[in-house]
Amino acid sequence: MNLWSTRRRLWLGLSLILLSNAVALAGVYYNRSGAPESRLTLSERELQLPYGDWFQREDNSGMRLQLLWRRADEYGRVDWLSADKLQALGFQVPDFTRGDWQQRLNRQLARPVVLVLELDGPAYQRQLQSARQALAEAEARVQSRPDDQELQRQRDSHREQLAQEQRRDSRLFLVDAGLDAQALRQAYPDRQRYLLLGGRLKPHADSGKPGAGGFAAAIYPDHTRITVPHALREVFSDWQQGGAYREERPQVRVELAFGRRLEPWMLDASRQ
Amino acid sequence: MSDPSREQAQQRAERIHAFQQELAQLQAERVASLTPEQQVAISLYHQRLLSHFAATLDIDADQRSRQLSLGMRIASLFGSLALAAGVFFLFYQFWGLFNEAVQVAILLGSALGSLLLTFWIQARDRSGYYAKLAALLSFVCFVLNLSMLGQIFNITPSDQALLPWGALALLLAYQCRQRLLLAAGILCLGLFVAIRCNAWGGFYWLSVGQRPENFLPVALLLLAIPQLFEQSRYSGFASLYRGMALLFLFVPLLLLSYWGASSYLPWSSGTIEVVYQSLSFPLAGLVIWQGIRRGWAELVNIGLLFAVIFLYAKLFDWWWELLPKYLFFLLLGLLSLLLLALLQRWRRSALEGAQ
Repeated sequence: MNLWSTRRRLWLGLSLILLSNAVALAGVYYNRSGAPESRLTLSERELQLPYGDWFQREDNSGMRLQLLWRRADEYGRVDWLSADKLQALGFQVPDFTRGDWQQRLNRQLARPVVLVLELDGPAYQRQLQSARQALAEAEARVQSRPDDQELQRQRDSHREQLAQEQRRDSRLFLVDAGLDAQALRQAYPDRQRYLLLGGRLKPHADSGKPGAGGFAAAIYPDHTRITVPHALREVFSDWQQGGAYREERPQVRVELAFGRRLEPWMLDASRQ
Repeated sequence: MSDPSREQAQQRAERIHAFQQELAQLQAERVASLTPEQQVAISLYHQRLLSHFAATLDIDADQRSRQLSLGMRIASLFGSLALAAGVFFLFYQFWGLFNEAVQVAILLGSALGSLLLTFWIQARDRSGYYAKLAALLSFVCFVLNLSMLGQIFNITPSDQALLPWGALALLLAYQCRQRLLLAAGILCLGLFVAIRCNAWGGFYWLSVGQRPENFLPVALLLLAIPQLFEQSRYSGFASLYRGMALLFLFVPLLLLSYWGASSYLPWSSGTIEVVYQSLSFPLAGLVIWQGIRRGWAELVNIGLLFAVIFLYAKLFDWWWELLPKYLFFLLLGLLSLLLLALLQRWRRSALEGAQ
């Protein structure tokens, strides 16, 4: 191997590394340039230290927070995922008169989509209302049969669920999906309440009637883990991994921005 | 004397040792003999040649060196894997202690520094063991570099990173003649091509594995590379391309033969499975035949391996539920014996043909 070809390969390798880093950092600069696409103020209810990571915490000094989002659906069905919406997202809607429509739906692969997440909006209020209504019904049943211990237990459980919903559960709900981020932003113009996030969606059949109350789907946002900048780590220093039911975590206020490429970064974080 | 590569010089040295042993045997059995002058001339020429190779290319000039060399190769492989894991965990252990600018500087510095170190060591290390170790370390540093940039700045995960990773792995593989890095490079670029095939259908990139047909174009590309680009200067590279191509061909075929629902074809799962099962056996036969015809051992071995896997998978499909377990395994054993007899007969006829 001659010296010239060795030198050429060395320069090629160095250029490859520099160029790859430059492209990645230029993408970060582009994402963060201009006004953020959306800017949300979250609390400890929407964030937690992830568990089930590759590394134990003692092996990894970095800190990432998991974005906690919810689906207001029952039994895996998404109420807004109609047959028309499926078609608009690029999926083939199977002929439901055929006996094998479920296999045909299940065979389709996940497609990249833009997800719309709503913070403390109508979807959360509906969830809250539903928890209040369930508690009111349980209390009415207890009043009609005051000595029934099972009914009392059910009422207490609903009371706890309402408290959980009011104080601890995430208020970030998945409310829509589409392919065009600009069209979605026009439909949801409030940038401090509605977050657009890249992700993937895969519909699948469940045991119910086709399309009744929306289709079932597996939905995964691209970014559910957000790195905490070095300067803001102190705010989360006493957080524990994961989040247990009924756990009261220190109250925080976290400013998250999502840029032109819908990639997030943490602007600020403080204790309440 | 032309300027051979280290592998070529090593092969020549082994031929010289074989020649010396065979000549001694022939002389002992009085089949042939050389005059003392001829013996001295040949012996001197071989000694000079071996000394030259040992001095310039650090080859294994005798049996003892060869044994030690194998140990060094194993130590080099384990050493490089362990060092790579060490670098990986080292960064994770401390990266949170630095701000973002320092993190980027450390990542970029380690990628550039390890590449420079690889070339610097290679210029000084005639054996190549240390350079290969450094090359693997350099590749790991670069993988860590881009993946950690993604984490630090929350960049959307993408298949695009496979392209520079594959390119650097190939560059280092050709520079240091390292097959492990060639395999890594082929894997990165093969995955990238398969993911692009998947993305043309508008599907999410990570679902590439759910359509095994995405990998079939990669097999064709890999088979074409050693035909289009001369690899003779790089020992074992052409075989590795062909071997990896066959894996990209046969593994998807095996999956499609029993998981028809994962196919792009619009037919029922049963039909798709029958089609791929019918394709698998002739294709394995074709690969074995081409391997024998061209003298490519890797084609014969991998073709045979998959022919046996296809056969056993089909037998399992047919008989596992039907037969008692002892009978099933006895039948498998009998079939293996039959296969052995068939291959032995094939080998004999090939030997007779050669004579």
